[in-house]
Amino acid sequence: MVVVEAQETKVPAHHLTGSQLTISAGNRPLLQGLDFHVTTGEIIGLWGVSGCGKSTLLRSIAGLQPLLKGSIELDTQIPDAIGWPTYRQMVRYIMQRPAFSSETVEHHLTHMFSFDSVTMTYGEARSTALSLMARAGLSTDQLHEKASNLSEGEQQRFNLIRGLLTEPCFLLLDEPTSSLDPESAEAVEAIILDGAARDQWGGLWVSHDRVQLERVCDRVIELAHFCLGGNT
Amino acid sequence: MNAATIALTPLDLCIGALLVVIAGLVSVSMGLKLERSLLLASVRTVIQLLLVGYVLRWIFDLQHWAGVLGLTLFMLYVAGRAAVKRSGRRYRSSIMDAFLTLSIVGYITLFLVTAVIIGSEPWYAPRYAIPILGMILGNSLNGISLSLDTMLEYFDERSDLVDADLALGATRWEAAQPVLQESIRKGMIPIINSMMVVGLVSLPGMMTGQIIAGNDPLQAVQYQIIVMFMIAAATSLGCIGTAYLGYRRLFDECHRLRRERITRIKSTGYTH
Repeated sequence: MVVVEAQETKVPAHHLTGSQLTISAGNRPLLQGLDFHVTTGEIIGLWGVSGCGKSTLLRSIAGLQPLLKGSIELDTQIPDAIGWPTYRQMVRYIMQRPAFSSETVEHHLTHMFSFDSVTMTYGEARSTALSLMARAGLSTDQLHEKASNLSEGEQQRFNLIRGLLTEPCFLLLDEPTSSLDPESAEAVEAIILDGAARDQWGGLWVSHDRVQLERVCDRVIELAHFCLGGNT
Repeated sequence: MNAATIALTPLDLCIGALLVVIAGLVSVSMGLKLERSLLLASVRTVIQLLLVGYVLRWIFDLQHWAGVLGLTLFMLYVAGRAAVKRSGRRYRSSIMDAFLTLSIVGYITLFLVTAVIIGSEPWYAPRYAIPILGMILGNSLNGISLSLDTMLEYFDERSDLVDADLALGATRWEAAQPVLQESIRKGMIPIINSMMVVGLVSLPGMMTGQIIAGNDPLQAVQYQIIVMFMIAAATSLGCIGTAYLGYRRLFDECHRLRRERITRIKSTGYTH
């Protein structure tokens, strides 16, 4: 566990629980009987070889594809009861290779604030956005570039930062440093871990890199135990 | 219409067939190997149109709403199938949805034109209702299948962009809205383009028909204006209906895009 330093505003702990999750790609089952429990402040690693269903698992937890079996609860409520858009505000899925259209970076940053499920305005989040961008090594000049023109690494960092702005309480991190050079990877790790240390969020961190997971996570779950064989 | 129309005799039709023979000769001399297809197409043209002629005469003589309903439903079904077949992708109930959309849009537009504007008695009088519905369907079909194709292609190929918005907490409507807007826009462009050049590039079939039948060209033009507006209305409503129904089928209550519900079909090459 991360020791929480005295903070003026200590957020009450949230819980995200998955029970007996069975997931599939198409009709092919990938993982079976997976349980997890994570609270704010914790980062849990999900370690597995590529093709074992790591991304599919996070997509399923985010509700972007149906679970074959099992259930997910956020603070004892199922997402259906919370409402999926609100649930996805609280449980933020950070894709490994985020998709961007040819609109500007700034458009992608502000667009999210037009969604009904977002309660804050871009104005309120702007200073956080700029400081996080600086921390992650992104320049503000890039706000006016086409998002699809950014490098893969820049897109990955930008996507993470955007995902953090609406104050999610859990992060579903899909190989969040896969396209980054060591320096930016370190910066991204620090951003994620700092938030966890301040109890802002908890996380499920998926990676094939055991060493990284041991370094950043409180616990690591080995997906091989739940694997139904058959690689992609 | 008017007595000015010159009736065609079977002999006239036989002479007309010589025109196809010219096309056949071109095929033979250039080695296009299209003779068989051309022959088949010619025979089909004759048989299909004669059949339609007899069915129309029968329904005109019948003067009963049931006849008009039966024929129009058949037309709507064929149009619904064609709309789906012309697009490169489909989903499970896409033919049913296209049929539904076309039916609602078709009958509403038809009623507006025959009952309110032309004022035919009754509004479903076959002499007006059937050709007008035919024009509505024939012309709005293109736009509707373009809309459908645009929407399904986007949801299939760029599902990652939709997922990105959903993951950021967009409702299914918020995530789909730009796509639906674009597909409706795409579907409406052809009719706007043809309204831009109507009469300059070619004379529309119905207007030509009326003129040959001996009507005053200005009278024919007025009809044609109504027809263009009617097609524009039907196309826009049809595109909206298609996009909305498709959206309802492709997203579920959990606000997610069910891309697996889209299947590719071999394009018949009408569009693109």
